[in-house]
Amino acid sequence: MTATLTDRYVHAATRWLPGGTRGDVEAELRERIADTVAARGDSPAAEREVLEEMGDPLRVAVEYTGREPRLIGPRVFMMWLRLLVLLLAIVPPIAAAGNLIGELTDGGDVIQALIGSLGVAFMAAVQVSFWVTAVFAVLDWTGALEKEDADPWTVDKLPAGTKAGQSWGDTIASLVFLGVMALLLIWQQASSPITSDGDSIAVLDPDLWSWWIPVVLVLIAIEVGFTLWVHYGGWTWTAAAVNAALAIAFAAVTLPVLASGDFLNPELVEHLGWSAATVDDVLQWITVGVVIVTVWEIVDGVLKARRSSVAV
Amino acid sequence: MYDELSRQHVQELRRGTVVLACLLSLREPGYGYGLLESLDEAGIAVDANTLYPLLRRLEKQGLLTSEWNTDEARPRKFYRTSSDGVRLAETLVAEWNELDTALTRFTDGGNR
Repeated sequence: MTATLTDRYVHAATRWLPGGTRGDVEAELRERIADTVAARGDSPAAEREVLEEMGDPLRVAVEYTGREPRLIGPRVFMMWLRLLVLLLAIVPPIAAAGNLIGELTDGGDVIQALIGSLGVAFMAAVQVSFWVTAVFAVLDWTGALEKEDADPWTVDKLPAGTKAGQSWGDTIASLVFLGVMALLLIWQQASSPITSDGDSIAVLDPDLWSWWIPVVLVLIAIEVGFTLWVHYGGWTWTAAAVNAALAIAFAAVTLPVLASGDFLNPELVEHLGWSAATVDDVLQWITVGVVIVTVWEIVDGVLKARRSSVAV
Repeated sequence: MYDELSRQHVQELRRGTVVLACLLSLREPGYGYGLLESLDEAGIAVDANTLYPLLRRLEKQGLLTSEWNTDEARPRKFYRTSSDGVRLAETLVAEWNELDTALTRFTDGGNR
């Protein structure tokens, strides 16, 4: 004899339930289905209709056990969201930077190392998201956070706000600028628009990949972290000092390179037909530009720090 | 009778009253389908998908007690309001009356 629809429905609804409640839920479902079908004339068509009205057996099972069909409930959602955003802002960049430094000190190919680091950052983000969510889902389902509001909110948790924190506009502008700089550094090597016989000629001296470009990329990565830190923490005097240190670090690694003259790709200079004097002029202008930008960066940080310390 | 928005709000308003209706009705023992019918007759429309899980929940909270009756051809789970449940029902009825008084004051628009 084949199992009836009711048998199959009850089995589907209860097979994942723990032994203690399974028998009880099973008996209740049978009573409910039998009563309802009887009230509608006890026909196979009625049985079908009743079961379809009850809906997905898994859902019924979840309702009977008093659980809500959700992964993370409203009680822990905010805690989950805050922790996830915080960890995503910290862990992937650190993992990527660590991977990049490791690859470069091992003498690996720079572009390969950069692509590899992007992959590492992505995997780190996936891992962080999965584990944070898994832990919170378990905490929520087991009711471990049921008793006390595990993370009571106080006014101290307000974000720094318009006075101290940087606006999203400034932050996004900075991040886009930093991203474009990093891409330009890589792109000028990989596929510069200046071509000779179909081969693109890098703008910067390829020897710079041995140290200057990686160092600048790391500085850009640190700047990204710094920008996010300022966004939430605001322009404090500490932030202004860190900002100045970063600007000086950039100038300190860049100015010697410019002074040595080994900055532009010799092939490019040859291709454009520049004389040694022209190259010197160009490098001089770039040097002036770097100095002006560095000084402006430092002054800008100090001004912003002073403005927010006055405003508070 | 109602559009979708009204239906939602009406449902929300009724949600808590189903608990009260169960607690009051089950002072006399009853089983799921029987309760569903008597609530329906009394004008309290409840979906079966809501009522059955609700009875289990109320039992878990100690507001109802249950017993399987196997005397008839089909075994049925009979629920009965516990003493805690009776006390809660009294509190809820008092609350209901207070709300009714308060709301009446608004709906009469100060005409009294």
